[in-house]
Amino acid sequence: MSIHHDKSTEPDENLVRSAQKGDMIAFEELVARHRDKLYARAFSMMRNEEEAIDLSQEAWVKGWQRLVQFQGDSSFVTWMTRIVINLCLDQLRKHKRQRTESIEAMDEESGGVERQMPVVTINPSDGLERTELRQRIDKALGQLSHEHRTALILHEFEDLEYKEIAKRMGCSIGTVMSRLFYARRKMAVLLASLKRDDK
Amino acid sequence: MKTEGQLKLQAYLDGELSPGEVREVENILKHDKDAGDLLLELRQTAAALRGNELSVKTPETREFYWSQIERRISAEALREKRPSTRTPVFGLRQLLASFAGVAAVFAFIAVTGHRLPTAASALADEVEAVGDQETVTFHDHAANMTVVWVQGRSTSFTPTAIDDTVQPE
Repeated sequence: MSIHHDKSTEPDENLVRSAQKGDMIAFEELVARHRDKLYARAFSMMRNEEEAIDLSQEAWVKGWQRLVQFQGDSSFVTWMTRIVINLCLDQLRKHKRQRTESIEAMDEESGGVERQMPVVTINPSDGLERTELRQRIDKALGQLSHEHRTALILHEFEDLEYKEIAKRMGCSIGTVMSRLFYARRKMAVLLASLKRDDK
Repeated sequence: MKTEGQLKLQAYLDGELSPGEVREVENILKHDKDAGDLLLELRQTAAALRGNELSVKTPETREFYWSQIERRISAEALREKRPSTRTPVFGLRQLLASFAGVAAVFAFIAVTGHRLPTAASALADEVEAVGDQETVTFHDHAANMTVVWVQGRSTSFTPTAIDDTVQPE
């Protein structure tokens, strides 16, 4: 007679230890717990539902294969998030290779128009409910180039330092600073314009 | 404000500057209003973004999402197993089998006295005129036979058959 243990109350650490020994039920519980977070990160970077599902699932497969390497230096979900970010970055590089000379690339080379933009004085969060603000941020993020969006996501949402972002994006720290700067300035303009549209 | 200064201002906001650079930026901020305004914009944008990422949910059910992962894991495991059947021992066995095949061919030739085909013999038949114009040879490799016509004084040819399977002494 087989005994089914309820894994839903077990902490991540225990599930990871069990999964490292080959317990797939424990791993399935980890997937169920953190699948939304991983999917959300993939979606925020790719802006495409199908690719986000595929890449987040690929991350879980890689996670299972490399589980013995997980030492617990960070939380399990942080470790998994790093895997999905790397997969997304690889995918974005593939897209970039396929892309011919785009306006985005030209914009980045020239530094964009953001350098000359007047300073935005409107505070984007003023008078907004959190849900509304989140929706606006998401909408504005969708209008950035993937290089700018990725730099912003890795810095603001993943709390990575310039050096770490540069390593992951395969560029110099100067490029990261530049991308982050233009991304923030563009976001300021986009969020301000969304506020103005309300009035 | 130049780009370098703008980026330094941002690095100041992100806590990425050395103590010396921090003092340098703070001195600029004391008298440069544009720098102050830009810093405020960057700070407000960063503050609005922090912790305000839209929460998106996986559009698939737990079971379906997991079933796809499980299938991929199994497929990957199978794929990893496949090349492992080609162990060094397996490779050596294949090499030995090839050598054995070649050795068998040589043994057959040695026993039966067959010659190995050469590039020249690949031509089924060939006719060769000898330099002095008095003889013409015809090789029939299929029949292992060479026919030599020796031109007589009466200008007619006299064919002479030579069995190729007999090795010259």
